[in-house]
Amino acid sequence: MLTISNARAFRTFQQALPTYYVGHQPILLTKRSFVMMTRKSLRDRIESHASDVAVMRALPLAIAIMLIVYGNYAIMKPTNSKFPPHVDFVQEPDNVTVARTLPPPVEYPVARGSALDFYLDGTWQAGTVTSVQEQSRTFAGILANGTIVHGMAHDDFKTTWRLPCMGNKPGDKSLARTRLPDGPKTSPVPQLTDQFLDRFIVVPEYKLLFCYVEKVRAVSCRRRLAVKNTLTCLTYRRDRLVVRCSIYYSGI
Amino acid sequence: MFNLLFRYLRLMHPDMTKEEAEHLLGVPPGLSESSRNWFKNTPEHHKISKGRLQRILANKQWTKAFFYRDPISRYVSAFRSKCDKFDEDGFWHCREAFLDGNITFPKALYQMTQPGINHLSANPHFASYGTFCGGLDQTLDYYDIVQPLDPKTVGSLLRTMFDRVRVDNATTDVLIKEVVDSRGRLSSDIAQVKDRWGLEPDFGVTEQHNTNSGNVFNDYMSSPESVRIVQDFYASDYALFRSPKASEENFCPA
Repeated sequence: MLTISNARAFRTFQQALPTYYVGHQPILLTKRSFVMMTRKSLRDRIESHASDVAVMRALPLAIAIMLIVYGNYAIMKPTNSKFPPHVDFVQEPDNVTVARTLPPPVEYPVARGSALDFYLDGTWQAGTVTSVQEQSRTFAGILANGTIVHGMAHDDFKTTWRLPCMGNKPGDKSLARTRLPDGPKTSPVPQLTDQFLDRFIVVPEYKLLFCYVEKVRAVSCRRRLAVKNTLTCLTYRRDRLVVRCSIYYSGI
Repeated sequence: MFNLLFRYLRLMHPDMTKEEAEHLLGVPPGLSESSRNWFKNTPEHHKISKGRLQRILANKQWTKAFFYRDPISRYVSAFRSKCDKFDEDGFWHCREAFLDGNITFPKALYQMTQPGINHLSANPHFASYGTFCGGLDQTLDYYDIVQPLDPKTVGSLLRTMFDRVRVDNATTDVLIKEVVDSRGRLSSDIAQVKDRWGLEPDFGVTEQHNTNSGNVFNDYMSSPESVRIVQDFYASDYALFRSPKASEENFCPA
């Protein structure tokens, strides 16, 4: 867990860092960003792209600056999964940009004096959160290293962060960071059409929402398809190709 | 199956009220089958608006679940049920879907090859999965459990779902036993429910809508061309589930 209490030092750090790329991925942050990444994942990243000279040059510089400027920096637990950054609003709006380097930045409203809860997903290496409406309101830069584990259940790996948006002036206590204990409570709200809404089965006692579709019950052939290669299901009948699965059926 | 399953799940919950139990049990007697059996737990019944449904979908404290069946298998089941008069109400559904309550299977397939056909989507038995529940094609990522149903795994799937929402083990065991033992045709005779509420469930006939279509699957899908037509018609569903299309080499068992 990292708490940044010195905004000036943070800005100094921000300005010291150039941007580097590995392949198409930014590995370090832009000048207005702050990097925290696990040493191991960074090392893995570097080793997997050893030919990238720029990164190799950047690595010692980045680590040195991190150690010098922030003796108390901490290693953030990587987050990962496949969806774009999620932002949940604690209060009503002004504007804050949650930016990913590759996709276009997306603006999310955050109120002054409130906080921004978010998690970072997807194939990213670093992100920034900056105020875009009032530059004088110093807002926290964020970073976390994303180690992507494709195909894993994303809920178990999301880490939610809270960025208080507290000050109106530079130097205010605007840089603080808290890892929330239970992960995000919500995702961006989807838009439903009016079609077949009555096919939702609501079980409020268990907070269960089930989508029921006609003609779906405990009969499916999917599972049996897995063993199709071990049995002969095809035969011909009256010059037509048909499927005869009685052998197949009894053989399971 | 799910309609009854979730009714029983609620009926066995300790906080269930008598009034709600009577609603779920289909009393007073004498109601039509439709009134007794269907739409007992809709958002409307619970006074849940579309906006709140949207928030529930986004709320990670709720569990959202959805099970599906191979689109071809589902289509055959629907056609047998509604257009081959397996069910009493079949004619009306068939007419809504194909504009002809007495349509034959080949003619129905022919309709499905015509460009711009959209009346099938008006009927829930033939509509694509993506149109259900406010647009599964846009909301499937919000679901916590999305699984194909299978007779062999239905028990474990249900247990996974019930464990996730913290249904007690005794209730889970009873319900799964009912589902598995009845091969998806829940009986209306769960002793715990009768004993607790002192009411006889009056669900009417509950097994009519099971068509056993698997037994006659090959009679309908007797040619690769038939398969291809249905696959193409429901291509969006295959894409939605990232599921490979069934082919003549890997049909459902008869």
